[in-house]
Amino acid sequence: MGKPGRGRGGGGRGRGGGGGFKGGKQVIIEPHRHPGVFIARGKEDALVTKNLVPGSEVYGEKRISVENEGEKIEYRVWNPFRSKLAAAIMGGVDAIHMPPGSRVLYLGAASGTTVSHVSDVVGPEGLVYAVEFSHRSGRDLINVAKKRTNIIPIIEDARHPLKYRMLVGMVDTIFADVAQPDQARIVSLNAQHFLKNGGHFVISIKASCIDSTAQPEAVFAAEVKKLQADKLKPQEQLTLEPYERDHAVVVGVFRPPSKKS
Amino acid sequence: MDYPVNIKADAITLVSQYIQTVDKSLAQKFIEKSKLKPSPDKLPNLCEIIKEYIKLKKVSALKDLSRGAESSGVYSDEKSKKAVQVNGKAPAANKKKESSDSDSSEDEKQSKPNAKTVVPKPQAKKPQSSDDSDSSDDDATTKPKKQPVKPQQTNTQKVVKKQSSSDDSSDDDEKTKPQQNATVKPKATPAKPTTGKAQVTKKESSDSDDSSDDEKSKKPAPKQPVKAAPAKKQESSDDSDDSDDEKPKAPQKPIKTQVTPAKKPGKVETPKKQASSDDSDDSSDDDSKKLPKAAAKAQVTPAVKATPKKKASSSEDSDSSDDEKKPAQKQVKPAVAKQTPAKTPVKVETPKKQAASSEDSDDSSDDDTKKKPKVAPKLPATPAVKVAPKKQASSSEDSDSSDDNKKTAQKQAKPAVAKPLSKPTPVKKQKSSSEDSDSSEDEKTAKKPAPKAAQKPQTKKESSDDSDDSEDEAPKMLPKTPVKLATPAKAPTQESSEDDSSDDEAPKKTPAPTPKSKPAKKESSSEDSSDEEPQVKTSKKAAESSDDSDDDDGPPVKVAKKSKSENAQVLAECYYISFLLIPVTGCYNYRFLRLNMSSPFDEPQVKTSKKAAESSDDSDDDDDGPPVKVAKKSKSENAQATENGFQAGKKRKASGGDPTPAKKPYSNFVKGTKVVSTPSEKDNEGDSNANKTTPFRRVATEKVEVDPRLKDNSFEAKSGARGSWGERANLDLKHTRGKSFKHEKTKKKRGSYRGGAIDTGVHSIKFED
Repeated sequence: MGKPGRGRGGGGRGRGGGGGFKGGKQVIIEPHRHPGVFIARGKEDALVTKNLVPGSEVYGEKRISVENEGEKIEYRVWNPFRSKLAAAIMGGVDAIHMPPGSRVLYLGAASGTTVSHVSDVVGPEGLVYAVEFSHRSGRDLINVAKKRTNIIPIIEDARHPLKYRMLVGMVDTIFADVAQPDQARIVSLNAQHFLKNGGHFVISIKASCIDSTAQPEAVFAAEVKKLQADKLKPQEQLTLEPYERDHAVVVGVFRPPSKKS
Repeated sequence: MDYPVNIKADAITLVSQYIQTVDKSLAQKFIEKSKLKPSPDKLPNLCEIIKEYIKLKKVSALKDLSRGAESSGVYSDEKSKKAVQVNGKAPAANKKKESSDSDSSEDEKQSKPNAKTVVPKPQAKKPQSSDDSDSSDDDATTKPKKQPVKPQQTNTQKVVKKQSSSDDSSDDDEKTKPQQNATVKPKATPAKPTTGKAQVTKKESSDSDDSSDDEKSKKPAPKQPVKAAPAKKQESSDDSDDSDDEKPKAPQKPIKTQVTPAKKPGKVETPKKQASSDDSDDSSDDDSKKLPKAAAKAQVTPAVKATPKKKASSSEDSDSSDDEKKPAQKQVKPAVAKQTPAKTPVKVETPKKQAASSEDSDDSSDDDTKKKPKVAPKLPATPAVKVAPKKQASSSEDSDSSDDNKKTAQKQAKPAVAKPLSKPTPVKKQKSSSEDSDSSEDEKTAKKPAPKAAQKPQTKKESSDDSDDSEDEAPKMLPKTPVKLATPAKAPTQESSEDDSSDDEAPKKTPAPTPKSKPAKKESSSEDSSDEEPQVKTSKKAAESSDDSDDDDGPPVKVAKKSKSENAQVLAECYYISFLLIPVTGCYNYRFLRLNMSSPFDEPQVKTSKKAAESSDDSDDDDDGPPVKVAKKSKSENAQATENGFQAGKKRKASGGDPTPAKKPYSNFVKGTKVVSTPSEKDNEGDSNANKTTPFRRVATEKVEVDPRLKDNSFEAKSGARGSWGERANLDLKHTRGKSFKHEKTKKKRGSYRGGAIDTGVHSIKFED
């Protein structure tokens, strides 16, 4: 009794699924530095996004429902071990450039787990163009998109943006998690087709996918140079340790408007 | 001079006796003036003495033949060589004396030797000064002069043969001579004498002495380059042939223009041409062609025209020649040859002329109206020649083009000569030579070297037709020139096998040039003087013909040659013409040496190398079309590579040539290029393979500059790592690798991970502008 928090907080189960958070009264949701991203502060903090489709989970993640003045709001826990974007946020990236209402081109959408969180972040006013070349992954992605109308699944090779140019408009941000040796080129191609001037890109670089023998730091530096050559100006780099091994996230801007002129 | 009085008295007695038989009053006057009393002794008749002397000479000649060495004051070596050569030469000389026709018609071999000799002569002349060739030509052209000249030439030839006998004589005689001879013969009866002359000149040129003489006359430098060029050309194989053809043509043209006697010069040239192609000889056009050549020879032509003048100037020439061994050799040769006295005098003159060809040319030009025009060209030419050596030495100025061209022409002519000799396609060469000259005229404005070369090939392909083309091309010549050059090269190489097909192209091109050239030739023949341009053109053409690449620019040419040589080498590898390449390279080297050194001695070496190259080439040519073709191809390829395969193709196209011929050459070029490229590709592949041996890597860690802040990608290195939400995960995962890492990470994915508070700070590393 004197411990309402405990009783309410999912009973004694502690951590069973989202149960612990669900209970929620002891959980306080506060917005993250990044618009559209929230932090559920409770016994254990968690990174969460506001569920665009309340009542449904995408990949078995935990959900946290918070009642605020009689209005129920459901959040989905975003596990940094499952999403590189979440890992970047947890690692302390300065900006992800995906505020609500923005349009994001997501290269390497895979099954749509992260895409679902991005769709939560951009909200109903935003759009997520999710490009995935694998049909098997694409099937799950399409299933995700069926419930989330702000996701436009594109099962195509990101190397050939012309194939889906009719589906994609200009975007504000490109997120790339393609893990391909030529990912810099892939990003550049798509940026040239769909990224607005001054738009941003967020690239997750897996060093072992580019050169498993070279030092990861050298690989990152080399990739950064490639991006610079394609007018993709990097602004920040962040390691994804400990969530990923030999990964780094590079955030930058495409064709930044000249400040001087 | 200081003979004992009694001997002098005897001599006077003999003379007076002889004169008395003619005119007693004159004899009395003679005795009075001599102030010597005729010796009372009974003296044999002067005629008898001469008879005995002739007999002795014959005997001595036989001895020489048997011994292989006479004591005529010439070098023992030369004498020995001469003796050997004399056998062949003597007959040639005799033939020449007796009948130029017989020589040409009789033995191709003999004529070949002659031709060979001629080739050297042109070279020598050219190096010395176009005048030399001209002088020979002039001699031939002017019948009276010709006779004397011929003897001189023969003498010179003999001498040359003797001198060069060791060096080139054998090779040249065998291969080149036959061709040249054949060509020469067809050209004309006078041609025979000319051939003889040509031989002489060739011999001289071939001889180190000759070269040295030339050098003395200022020409040394040019000669050396020229020689080198020929050698290079020869080495290059086809290119050299082409250039040679062109060169010969040029000389021939001037000759023609200058005078009918020009034929002899033309013949001299023809030998070169002949080597390239016998057809020219056959056709009367050849003479006309020769005229154009004469223009090219311009320098030489003056000499030819000047032949009388030359005689006058011969003193100068002789002086120059005297300086050189040649005079001595020539003199000796006459004696050895036992040629008629007339011949000997002639010979003397010829040597002088050759030696002082430049001077002679000037003189001749002055004398003849044609000469005047020629003189103008000659003057430039001569200066050019003189300059040429310098230029060649300095190797760098196209502007002098005319001069350079002349020089180059001379050089080219030399190579050309060698080439012709070597090349079996004498007819083609002749045609080309005639055509070339025409084309050269047309091309005057245009890049002379390239056009010439191109024209030459064309001309080669098409004997008569080419002239028309050349005319058309004249404006085009500059662009065409490269093409022509390429074409020539192609033509020679391809011609053997593909030339026939290419002939179509050549005909197209050549036809145009030939008509032009023919008119030009005619004009030049009758109006050589009037047509300074033609001459200049011819000279330029000749230069061009000699080396398309080389001719224009001394330095560029050299480079081009080098590049050609390199290309040639590659090609050779492809075609298994290593031997050709070697000679070419050698020639190139020689050229360079000459350019740098410009020493007379270099020339002999070059000549020898050239000869060797020629001999090899010739042998090849003789043996088969295929080898020759290969050589030609290599040359052509080289030329193309150096100059511009594209240009060549364009020229052909522009000429409206037949696509097929063009294609063929082009194909060759393409092949060549392909071949060249293939090696490079192979190299690349090899490189890649080498790389493959090392582990493949997209990123060379050593070569990438890493920002010091980004040196460590680990979690601990990140700011704010301590106390962060992921710190515990890091503790679990940092010691894991591979599979274990995945396993640990999978556990974290389940959501059982508890990291504590989430830090919202910024811990990324910012890139500064």
